[in-house]
Amino acid sequence: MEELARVLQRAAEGDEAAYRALYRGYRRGVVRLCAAFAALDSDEVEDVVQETFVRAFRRVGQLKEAKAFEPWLYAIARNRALTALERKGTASKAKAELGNDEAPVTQLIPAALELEAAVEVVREVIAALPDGPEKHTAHLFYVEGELNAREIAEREGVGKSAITMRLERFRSRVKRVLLRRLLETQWST
Amino acid sequence: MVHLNPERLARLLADPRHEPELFEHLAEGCEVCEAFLATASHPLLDGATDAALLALGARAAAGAPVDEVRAEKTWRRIRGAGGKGAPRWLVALAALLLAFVAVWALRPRDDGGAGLKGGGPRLTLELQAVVRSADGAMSRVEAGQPVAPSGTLLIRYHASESGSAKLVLLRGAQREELGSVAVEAGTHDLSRDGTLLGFSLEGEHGRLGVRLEAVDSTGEVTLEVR
Repeated sequence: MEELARVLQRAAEGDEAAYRALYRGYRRGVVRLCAAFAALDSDEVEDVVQETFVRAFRRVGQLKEAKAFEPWLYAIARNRALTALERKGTASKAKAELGNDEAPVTQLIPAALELEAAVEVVREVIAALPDGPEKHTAHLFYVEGELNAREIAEREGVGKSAITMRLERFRSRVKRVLLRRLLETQWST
Repeated sequence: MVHLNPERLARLLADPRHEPELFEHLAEGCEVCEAFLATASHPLLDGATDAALLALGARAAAGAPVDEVRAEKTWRRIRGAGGKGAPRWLVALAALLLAFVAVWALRPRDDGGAGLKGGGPRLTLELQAVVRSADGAMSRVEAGQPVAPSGTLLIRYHASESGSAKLVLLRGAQREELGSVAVEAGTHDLSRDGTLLGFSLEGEHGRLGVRLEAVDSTGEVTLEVR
């Protein structure tokens, strides 16, 4: 994390090598995030990647702490991907906006949302799911981590949108549990 | 039974004790609340959720092959976009459509010189480049003409028939394919999905060509950025 903090500092000063290091380090994650949206083709994914990093680099100097970088980057990427889907008419524009993902994360990451704790939540949610298509799809995409949603759809012989829906449903379960964990820490303070 | 909505979620996040029933409810799975969360945007929560999900399979994904060529192409586009944040190939400049008019004569259709009819129409293409400078001025660019590394390159094409063409960027001997575009018969500005395509010249240097490749014909413009 100290190394990331140094890279972020250099990026904030406009160092192109630092930008490149961040791109090399996090491109895969952004591409993978987009890979859950089967409606996006590979060219559209690259557009999302481009927009995500350009937006992140513009405001990287305002980050409060290095460990906020990855979640913030992914929040931008998700928003860009949804915007791309809206342009294609495959996603609803109706969204409950509870924050501006273009704004840097200026607050500290609460312990409940730190990566290790959050990963543990994901494992718990998967373990608690009954055997079925959602669990199978979530395992293929998130645990095995190699196939994209389109490839899973082809392999399973189901529609692409069905895979995206399963992944989104699973993600919403995880999000609910993380929200609850976050609220628990607030309740107890 | 209470479920999440934007107002309740905002109150919960401010202080969960404001919504004790909902706080308890969230300990259990609820399709209504999860459906709401699927569309509710909360940067911190969304980012943490995706970071955790992606971390789970990160080791496996790290072993997957990387398309280095594609990654490098996108990096160049990011670098070229600089701090402006504009996607390189999706600069919406529809308001400028009326700022210039270029007319081309129809290229005579090649019928093999034998006067034979039939075989279907052939798509022929001609391109014209126009650079829009930072102050909004538009100037037509002739083949090989030097231009400054600033502003936005716009392409107008004339097609004899409707069809599709591959959009290709040429930097010296380097060729970069940028997907396909639909072309319509007549003279039009190059666009994709209704959005005018513009190409930022920032960061470019040297010979730069834009080419539309159709089955029957290739249209190309070349300029010298310096």
